[in-house]
Amino acid sequence: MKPALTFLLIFCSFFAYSQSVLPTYESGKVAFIEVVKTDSLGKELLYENAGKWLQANNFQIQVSAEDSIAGKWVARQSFPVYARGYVSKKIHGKINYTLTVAVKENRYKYEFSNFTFDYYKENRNYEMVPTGKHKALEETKASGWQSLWEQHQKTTQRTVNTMIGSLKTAMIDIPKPKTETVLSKKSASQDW
Amino acid sequence: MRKIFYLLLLCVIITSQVFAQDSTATADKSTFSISGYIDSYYFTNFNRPASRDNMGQSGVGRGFDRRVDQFSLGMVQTLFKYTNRKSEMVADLAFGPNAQYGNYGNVPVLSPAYGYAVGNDNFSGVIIKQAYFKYNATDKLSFTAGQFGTHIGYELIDAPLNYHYSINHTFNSGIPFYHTGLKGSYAFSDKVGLMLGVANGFDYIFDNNRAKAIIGQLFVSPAEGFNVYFNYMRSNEANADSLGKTPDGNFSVYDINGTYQLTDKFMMAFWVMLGSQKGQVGAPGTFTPADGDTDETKTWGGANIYGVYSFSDLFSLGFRGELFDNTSGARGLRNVDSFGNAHGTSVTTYTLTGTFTLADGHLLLKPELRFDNFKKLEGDSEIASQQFMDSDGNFTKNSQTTFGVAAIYKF
Repeated sequence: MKPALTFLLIFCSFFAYSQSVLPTYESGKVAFIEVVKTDSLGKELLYENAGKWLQANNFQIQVSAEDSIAGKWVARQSFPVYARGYVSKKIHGKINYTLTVAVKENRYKYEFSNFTFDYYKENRNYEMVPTGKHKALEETKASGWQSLWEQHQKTTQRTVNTMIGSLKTAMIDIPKPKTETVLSKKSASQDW
Repeated sequence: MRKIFYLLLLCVIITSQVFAQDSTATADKSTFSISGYIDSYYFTNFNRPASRDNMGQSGVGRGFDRRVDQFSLGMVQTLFKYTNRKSEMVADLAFGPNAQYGNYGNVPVLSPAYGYAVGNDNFSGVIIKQAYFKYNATDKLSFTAGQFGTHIGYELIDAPLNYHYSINHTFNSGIPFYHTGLKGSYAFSDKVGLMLGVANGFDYIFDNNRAKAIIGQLFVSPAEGFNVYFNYMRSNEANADSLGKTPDGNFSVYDINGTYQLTDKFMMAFWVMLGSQKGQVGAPGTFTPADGDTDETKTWGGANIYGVYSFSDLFSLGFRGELFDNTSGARGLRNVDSFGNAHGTSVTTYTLTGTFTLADGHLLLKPELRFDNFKKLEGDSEIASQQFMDSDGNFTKNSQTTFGVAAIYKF
């Protein structure tokens, strides 16, 4: 009984990592969406924190004047995904996505969406360069490279979850009030 | 014993998680990689040539897919690459028959074997296909020195980097394979780049004279998925005389090629080149014109169009149409008439190639059908002076059709 249970545990540990589950929205597209409540944080502070975080994380900000008035940031970014190479990894492609952060009084909503995989290929200098070809991340099939495709989906899930954690931390940051330093002409030995 | 067993079980579970994770390399991290490929092929020729090869009377009727009706090894490539933020080193070592031919000025044979012979594919020792290092002076400016593959052309020596397995005549007979020299590259942006350099010439490990070749490339990307390259080379390939002086000579190549990913499923490409030579030549890869006249400028050219349709990630189908014109006789692709005189020629080629992508992209299976049609030598005396051999060993065919499968494993 115990050996059978042991074997089952080992089997499950592999099986758990062979399935990729990316969250999808109503349209069937991959999206990570959440409304986060933040007590006592105003719209302006949330908007400013979101902007600072986007810039610090090298997002390409695409906000329009209307978005700004509405308290919304729209930005794009990409991250590489790798194929296993011998000794070191080789870029297989890049995952592009859009991040929208909309703020209101005491709450904000983030939306990671429009995920696409950009195909890369090797050029004559053995550099990996984009081909201009794309694949939507919600596609489940990748004939001929299924395991690699599932690995990229898992990488996307991990990467976005990390970004979400970082964003949430940054959004609740309250700037510390500035303290004035008063220079005294009295001697150092005087009781302050 | 049980404790050891459960400890091992814990290690297995932890290890399975470690190998399931990916980490992102930082920009400043140095990396060392080993990659490469092996390719092999099996083709048949419907002319059933007695020689059991595709080479034709010129000896350069094909590049790397030479032998028919037998399993053939192409090349084994091992690419060693070290990269850090400021520099890069590439040592590209190749083995096998196609390695020798791809570097025919760089192997220990007395002279290239042109004419009717399956030349330059009988040496399987290690060959330096490329060996160069690059210094990134700034984020935009870099310098590369050593032996590097030519910047000219659309097709390459490396089988995994071409869509079609067989290389066309424009590459095989029209342009250089590699250079030894120094070049600088400047990336104005990710859409515009410029390269200028000097080299010994082309396709030769040494330099046969004191003159140097000027090489250049302009890259532009007018839109996403649309890349165009303008390439240039000007050289003097005349052999130096006994006093080390270089006779007058001019060897130039002009080239434009580009790719456009029209949709996620359809890609198109084009390649047009023009070459010219005047004066003496002598370096490997050059030819005294068929008529022997070195005082007149001789030109040759190639025009190619490509289309690839991806039915799925598993299978795609590609087409190539080519016209290569060497009627001036400047290059090695020639006919020989019944009097033994060499003549320039021209050829149209149509190639249909499928690609099955397997094993996470490591294995490519490429069934390929190709039709070559050479200019026919007219006249009753020239019946047996056409380009291709028949089953009786006579050169009575001006066209040939080949079909087969190539397998490429890249790592």
